[in-house]
Parts: sequence; C-alpha cells; structure tokens
Amino acid sequence: MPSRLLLAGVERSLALAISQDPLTAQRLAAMYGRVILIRSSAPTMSIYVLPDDQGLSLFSHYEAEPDCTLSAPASLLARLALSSDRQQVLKDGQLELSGDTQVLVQLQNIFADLQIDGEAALARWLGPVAAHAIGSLARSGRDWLGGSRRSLQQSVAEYLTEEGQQLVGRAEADTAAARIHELRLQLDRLDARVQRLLQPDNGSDA
Amino acid sequence: MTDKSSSDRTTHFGFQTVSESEKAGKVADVFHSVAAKYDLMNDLMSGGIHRLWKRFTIELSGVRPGNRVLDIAGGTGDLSRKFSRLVGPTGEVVLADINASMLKVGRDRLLDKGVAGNVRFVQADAEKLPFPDNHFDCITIAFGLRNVTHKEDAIASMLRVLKPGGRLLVLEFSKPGNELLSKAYDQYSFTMLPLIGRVITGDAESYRYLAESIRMHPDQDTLKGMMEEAGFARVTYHNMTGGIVALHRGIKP
Repeated sequence: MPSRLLLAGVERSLALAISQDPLTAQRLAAMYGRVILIRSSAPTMSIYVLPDDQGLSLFSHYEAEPDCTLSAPASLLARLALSSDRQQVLKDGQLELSGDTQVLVQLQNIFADLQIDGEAALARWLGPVAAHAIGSLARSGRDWLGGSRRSLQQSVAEYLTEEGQQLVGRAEADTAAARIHELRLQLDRLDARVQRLLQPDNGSDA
Repeated sequence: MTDKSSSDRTTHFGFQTVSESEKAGKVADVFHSVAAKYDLMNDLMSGGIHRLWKRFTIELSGVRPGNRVLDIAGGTGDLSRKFSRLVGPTGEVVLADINASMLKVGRDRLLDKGVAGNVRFVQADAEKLPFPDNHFDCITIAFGLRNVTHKEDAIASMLRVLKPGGRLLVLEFSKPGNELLSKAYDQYSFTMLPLIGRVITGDAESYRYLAESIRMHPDQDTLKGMMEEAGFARVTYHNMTGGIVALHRGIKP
C-alpha cells in the first residue's frame, strides 16, 4: 500500500506538470500503448509506466509484457533521473536494459524537454499582466540566487585553498593522488619480491 | 403448490428484514440521498484509502488498449475514469448504475474532467444486465454487490456478459481477520459513520445502513464460493487493510 500511495502522488504531480506543457502531452500521446517496466533493487520495487496524453500511469503491478525493462539499484535510478549527464549514468555496469530501448530513450527525451509554463497557469487565475509581473520577479530571483550560489562557491573554495590553506587545489590533489598510486604499485612489487625471496628453494633449477 | 411471490419473500436491508420488492426501493432512497456528497463522504470515511483500494483493482484488472470494460455500480466514476485512459480511443467503458442520481453525478463528474468519447452511461440492474452474451473483457463492481438483492443472479448475469477469459473483479467491504481490528472497526462503523453522515449530508440513517449492510455481506470465503458456484474459474481474493476490504477476482472459463 505505501508504494501505491507514493506512485499515486508521483502520478498526480506529473499530470499537473504535463498539463502545463501541451507539447509534452502530445508527444506522450504518441507513446500510448507502450509499457515500460522499471525494476529497482535495494529496495525491491517494480514500477510499470504507461504513457498517454494525460501523463503517465504508474502501477506497481500490470498484467502485460513490457516493451522495455530497466533494472538497477534504486540509488542508480535516482542518479539517472536527476543527473544532467544521463549518458554517463547509462554506462554503469549495474544498470540492465532489455527489450525495445528506444521506448525508454523516447520517454527520457520527452521529459528532458519538459518546460512547465507556470506563467500561463498563473495567467488563468490572475490575468496576463499580474502573471507576467510575478513571472519576471520569479525569473530574476532565480537568476540572482543562481549567481549568488556560484559566487559563494567560488569564494569559499578560494578561501579554503589560498587564504586558509585548509584544502589543496584540484591540480595539487591530482598530483598527490598520482604519486600515492605510483607508491602503492611500487610497494606491491616490493611485497611480491620479498614473498618470492622468503619461499624455500624447491630445487627445480638445480 | 404455490410459489412465493417476491412481495412475500424477505431479505435483509441492513439489520432489518424487508420484503424483496421493498429492498431495491430502500437502497435507491439511500443513494438518492447521498449521491451529491458521495465522494466527499468516501474520502472522509476511509481517510482517502478507498482510492488505493481502487488503484489495486485497476492493477489486477489486466485491462489493455482496445478492451471493453463494464463498471457496475460505477457511482461517481473513479474506476471508469482510469479505465477510460487504459482502453484508449479504440476501447469502450460502460459505467452502469441502477441509481439515476448516482449515474448523473458520475456522468457530470467525468464530463467535467474531460473524460468523453469512449465512455457510455447506462442505467442498469446488475441482476439483469442489458448487454449481449460474451461482450466484455473485464467487469468490475466496487462497493455495489452488497446492495444487490439477489447476489447469485447478479454474479450469473456478469458471467453471461463476460467474454471467455474475461475477468470479474468484486471490490467490497468484508470481514477483518484480526479480532481486535474487527472490534475497533465495529466501534468506528456504528458510531463515527452515522455521525459523519449527519454532519456532512444531514442523513445519519443512510450511513447506519452502510455499516449494517457491510456486516450482512458474505465474508471472503463465502463470496469466493458463490463465484465458483456461478461458474467462475481461478477465483482468488486479496485482503486489504486487514480484511476490511477484499478484492475477489474470477475468470470466465
């Protein structure tokens, strides 16, 4: 039951988002009849995804053969959903894909292009002028927050590496890591040589 | 030798014993009274869990694009709305209810939600379904069977209109498996339900009937036996919320 509650909530949120983007609804309608099974391990959970013009129907059980099955640990699935570099995540060895993978790629592309027109939704309730004013305010607020976050990140990084000398820079860290790696290899070789010297002579060369 | 007429035969209406001819009228009065606030009351009474029970019903229905589905006692159309999405433009959903008020609320609600094109609304008696033999891929009856006077006749009628291989799903209140839960549920049903009914709809009696009719409804195994007796194969049931509700599924051989 908890998984059904979760799926119902996600389904509703997606439907709300898709209702604000008619183009996404049209593209999903073209996928009607397709069934995608997403199977997660740790925790074990199956989600059947059925696209249509109103969004996605999400079921924990559906009695039909899926067109495409995606299996992976839940953490990897979450990375796949949130990562900006999905191609990199798809190369992970723990991820298994079977069936018509084009269906999954198609669905992924649709959601990558999803653009929710919040201003249009607001305009329905408040009128175009007020909606545009609120939209502009929200956009400038978002830009300001993004700029501030980047600036703060840069300042903190500079302080920790240059001023406070608490952390090393990336180039120094990479050089140190390469030296440690080389040292580990040398130690392994030395260890192997010592083991060989400690072995009693079996006299095979005598 | 004389047959008893239906006016002589008796049945139960909640905890009361009434003549068979009276029951349908009394049940109709209950639903005429509650139709307008049916959804709100369901949410209040079940804490919204009825939506999850219905979701599970959809999952077990096996309905696919192009299927023909009959939603008996469809009420305000919760199941029909979802089925309409699943069967798509090539399929058909028939929302049937014996009660005109409930059917009207269901039709208005679905039209308001933009559900149209593949849904038909039919006022029909579950005991005498007005459809051809072997017509539907799936039939559901959610929280409706306990209000039917002759349950055996209704199950036989559903079997007739199902296609071979088609599924009947009966979602209905049942008997909790745990004694403690059963007592708590009884307390809730006979005190809270009429109270909520009085506050929200101004009608405590209809909700007292609801609680009583649940107690008079066959338990899980009895209903399973009735479905097998009618001719359904592979009959199984799934208890939900500790057996407060059960979903029975049978296949027409």
